[in-house]
Amino acid sequence: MGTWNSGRATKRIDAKIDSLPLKDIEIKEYVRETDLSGLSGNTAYRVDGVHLYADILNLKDILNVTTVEGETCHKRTLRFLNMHYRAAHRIIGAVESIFVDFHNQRLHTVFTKPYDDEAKRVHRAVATAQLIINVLARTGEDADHPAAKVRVGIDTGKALAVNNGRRGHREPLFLGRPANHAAKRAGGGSAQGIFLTNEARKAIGLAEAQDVDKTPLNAEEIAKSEQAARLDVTVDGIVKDWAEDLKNNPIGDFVFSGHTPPFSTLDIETLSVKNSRRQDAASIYGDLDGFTVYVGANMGTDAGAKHVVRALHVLRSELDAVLHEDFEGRKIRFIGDCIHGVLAEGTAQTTDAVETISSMTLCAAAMRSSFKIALKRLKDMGTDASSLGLQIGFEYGPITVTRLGMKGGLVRCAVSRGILNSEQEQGRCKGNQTAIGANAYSKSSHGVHALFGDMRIRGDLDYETALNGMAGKNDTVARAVKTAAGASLLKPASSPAAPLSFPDRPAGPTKPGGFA
Amino acid sequence: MELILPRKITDLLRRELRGRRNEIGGVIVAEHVGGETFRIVELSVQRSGGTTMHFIRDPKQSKAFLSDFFARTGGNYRRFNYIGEWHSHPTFEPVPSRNDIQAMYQIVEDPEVGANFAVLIIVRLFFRRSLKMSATLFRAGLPPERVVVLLERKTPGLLSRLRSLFKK
Repeated sequence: MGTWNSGRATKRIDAKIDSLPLKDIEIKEYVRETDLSGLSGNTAYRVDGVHLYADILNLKDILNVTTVEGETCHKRTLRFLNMHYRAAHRIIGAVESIFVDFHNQRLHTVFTKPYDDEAKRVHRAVATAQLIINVLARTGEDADHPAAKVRVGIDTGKALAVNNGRRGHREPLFLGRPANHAAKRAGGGSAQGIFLTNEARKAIGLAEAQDVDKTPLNAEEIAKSEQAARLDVTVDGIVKDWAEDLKNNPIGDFVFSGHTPPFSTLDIETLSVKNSRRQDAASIYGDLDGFTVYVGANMGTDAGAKHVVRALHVLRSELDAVLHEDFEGRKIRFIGDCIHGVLAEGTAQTTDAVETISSMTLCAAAMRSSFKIALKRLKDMGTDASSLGLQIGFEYGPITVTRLGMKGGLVRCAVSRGILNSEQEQGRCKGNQTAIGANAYSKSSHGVHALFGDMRIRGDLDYETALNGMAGKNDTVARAVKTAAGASLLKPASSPAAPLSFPDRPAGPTKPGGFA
Repeated sequence: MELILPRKITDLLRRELRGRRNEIGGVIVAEHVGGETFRIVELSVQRSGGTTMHFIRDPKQSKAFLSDFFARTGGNYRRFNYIGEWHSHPTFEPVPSRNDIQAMYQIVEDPEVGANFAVLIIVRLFFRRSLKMSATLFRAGLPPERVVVLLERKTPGLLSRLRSLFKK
């Protein structure tokens, strides 16, 4: 049973702020052959580069081929993604771009070479985008799934590269306008093709587009970029290598098992195709609203950039702590300024849907409460990030958690209809809102229903509001949390209790007792 | 708090739990031995009302069991009385769930129950023989506490009694 309290959160936030004194944060300029793969938590680089996001548009179709979201549907989807991760990995290796992340169906890579020629970098990114589209089209040829439909977004400019994650997950994270706008172009519609921002179009001499999300590059423009980039790899070469690799290292059948809750004990770094997790759970996305603008306004000076690094690490780490330490959930990954996590209550075989959704509601509310405290503590310490908001969306349903891709470079992957929906729910929020998915809403307690209403969205939902609102409507989780909190408040644990004795009258229950 | 668990109770639990996939449970009566030590005397066994994950204790059945117990112990309530609840967790760890905790606080906070404390025992049978259990003390306004369970030694049989006499 997860609980949150402001004292514990404040201590945690203060400790994190103390661990990041501004004088220890280093802002450097990215120069030739800088290695971004092992950045420390208090170093950031300003990187002039071209950002490419490639989004597989038909992942949802693959997840929806069956009415029921069963094992077969998940195996097919993961196999589809695994094949594409492997193909994309080969392409990135061949074109020498920086691999940032695969977030399910979305690839992010950055071109920093050639160092002194922005136009050539954009041409290189466009040629690579076309290569990805052509290769992914071929990887569906003999498989039991359709070929990937790909939409690519590209932007160019300066971004701030910081460390993202720990242990085997120390890939760089890029903050700022070019990363954000490239992602927006990739997610900006359902049409396939390569979509450039006006900055990127300008860099290669193309006219500005009225609506960048509806103006893909035409065949002639792509051919021009391919000619200028002169990539020394071909579709046939990549597909041949990829097929050989698949033959030597077959993907194998996915083997699923459930994880005994809480998810906080799940070590994702031990997961693989043969050791994947699948069960009903709640998925949550918490995204910092206004962060790109905040980065843009501050990254120009070293002093400003230091505040960006500190704000990012403090806010993300506190959101993670609420999920992991307070509610015993598990972060799947940080995606830029966003956290994605999962949570479940019950057993490995049977998830208690109502309890899981109630716990996730309290967790989401606690994230907002912690976020408010963190902004205040940061401001007290000189980092004003009060322009930021927090958009939170969550959903309930079957989920998968595994690692995919190339041996030695496996990438975390958690995918399902519910996970995609939770991201969409987050996307429909403003900076003070929390949204619950339709499936979670339909399975939730009256307390959760009452909090969100028919629009399934609620503004300023903090922990006290959620706990009191849910407990007032007899939500079992909220009531248990309140009872436990009341028990520890009524008497300190150290105060002497009355001696145990039987009353001088017959005792015994008079009402039915519900146990689980 | 210490709770003495006689062997006849553990034998009874083993028998009742064997082969059951649904939760079963009931109420527990005990003797106040002295200080903070209590000895379980009997427990009721309600075999219906359970699923693999839930158990609803029927107040009628437990009332009948308690009335019979109070009659047999001569209304000596200070010494023999209701001490709490038990149920099984056939498919997961024998530790209190959120519902269990809530149900126990409802019991100790309900003036009609008349008890200022109650113990919750949760049991699980492993490999048809090995009994695993937890015992937790609940008091109104205080956090739950773990109870020390002492397994009562078996009553010496005729042969061992003869042996001890012979030694003397």
